[in-house]
Amino acid sequence: MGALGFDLGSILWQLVAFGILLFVLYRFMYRPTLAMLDARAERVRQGLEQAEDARRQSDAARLEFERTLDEARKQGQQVVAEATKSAERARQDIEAQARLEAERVLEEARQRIENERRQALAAVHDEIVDLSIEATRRVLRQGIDEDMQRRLVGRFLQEESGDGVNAG
Amino acid sequence: MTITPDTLVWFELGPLTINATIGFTWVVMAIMTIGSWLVTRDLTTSALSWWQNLLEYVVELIAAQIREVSDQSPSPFVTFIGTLFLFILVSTLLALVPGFYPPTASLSTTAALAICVFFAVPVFGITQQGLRRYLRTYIQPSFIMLPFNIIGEFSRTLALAVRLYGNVMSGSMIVAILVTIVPLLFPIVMQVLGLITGVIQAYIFAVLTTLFIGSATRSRHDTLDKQTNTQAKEIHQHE
Repeated sequence: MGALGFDLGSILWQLVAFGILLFVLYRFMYRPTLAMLDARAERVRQGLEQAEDARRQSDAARLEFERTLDEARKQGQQVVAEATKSAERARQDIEAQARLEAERVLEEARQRIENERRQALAAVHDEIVDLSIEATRRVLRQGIDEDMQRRLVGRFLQEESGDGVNAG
Repeated sequence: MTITPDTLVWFELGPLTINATIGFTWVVMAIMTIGSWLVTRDLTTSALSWWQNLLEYVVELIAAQIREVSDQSPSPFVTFIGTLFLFILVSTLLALVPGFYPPTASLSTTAALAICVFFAVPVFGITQQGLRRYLRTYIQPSFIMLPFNIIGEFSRTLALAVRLYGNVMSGSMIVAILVTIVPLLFPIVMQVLGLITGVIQAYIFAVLTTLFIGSATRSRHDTLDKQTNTQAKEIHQHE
């Protein structure tokens, strides 16, 4: 057995050596490597969890965005509809006001024309009276007194007025 | 010609004898210690170096093999089985270096490794199962099996030691003989073959150790439960 290398002393040496190697490799190789592999596995697991969280948040945000967009679209449509209605109402109001204003202006113009016509007629009437009196005074300077003149002129004017009305 | 590096005595100091086996064992230990220290002193979880990649690959490969063979979590066993495997592997690979004798070519080394396994099996078994349940495995399936189980413990330890020793030693011897007969080319081929044999032997030693530890740490009930479940599944599939 000795020729084959079977020696109790050597076996003890090798046992001690292997024990030391076991300790040293555990201390310098397996422990740090396994710890690092565990740390990496943990990091990967956390990364996956974070990715899953991010995906969930992204889905929630997308749903929220779609919901908000939908609401905004509805609100927009509502605003447009209200604005259209409001504009229509404003158009109708403006139109009505314009019509009223136009009628008012027209009425005022008519009244002003009427007044001016009346004033003009009155002025013409006075002028005619004055002119007639003057004319009559000149023609009948000595035969007719002033009362007579006035009556004559008044009757003349009445006749003229009736002609003018008939003619108008 | 030396059958074993034990016969190459480097120096003697009274009862203390340092032979080539012990010396080369310390060389292997030094290389593994320095190598592992150099690689693991700046481990990172990102931007891995080539060496860190290799180390992680080796450790994960060992862990995966343990998981596959023992069908258990490799964490408690990876240091012991991994160290056995790497020690035998590095010893064998260093045989390529001229003048280096693999310590595993000595029966002392392989016996020491087998003794480690012999003691590690009950230690792991008791740690995992408890003393009572572990001891019960010796009288299963019946009490009659007790002597056979005990003999089995010793015989498999012996087989482990002799198998590794025989393979590595024979490889070294064949190369040594061929070098004297045909000094060119042929020894190189045999050296390569010896290298492959050494790697395979390292693998076999580690796998057998895993099997022994796995069988000691896994209770018979677990095995029976697993078998029952498998059978139940098969029956279910047939139905």
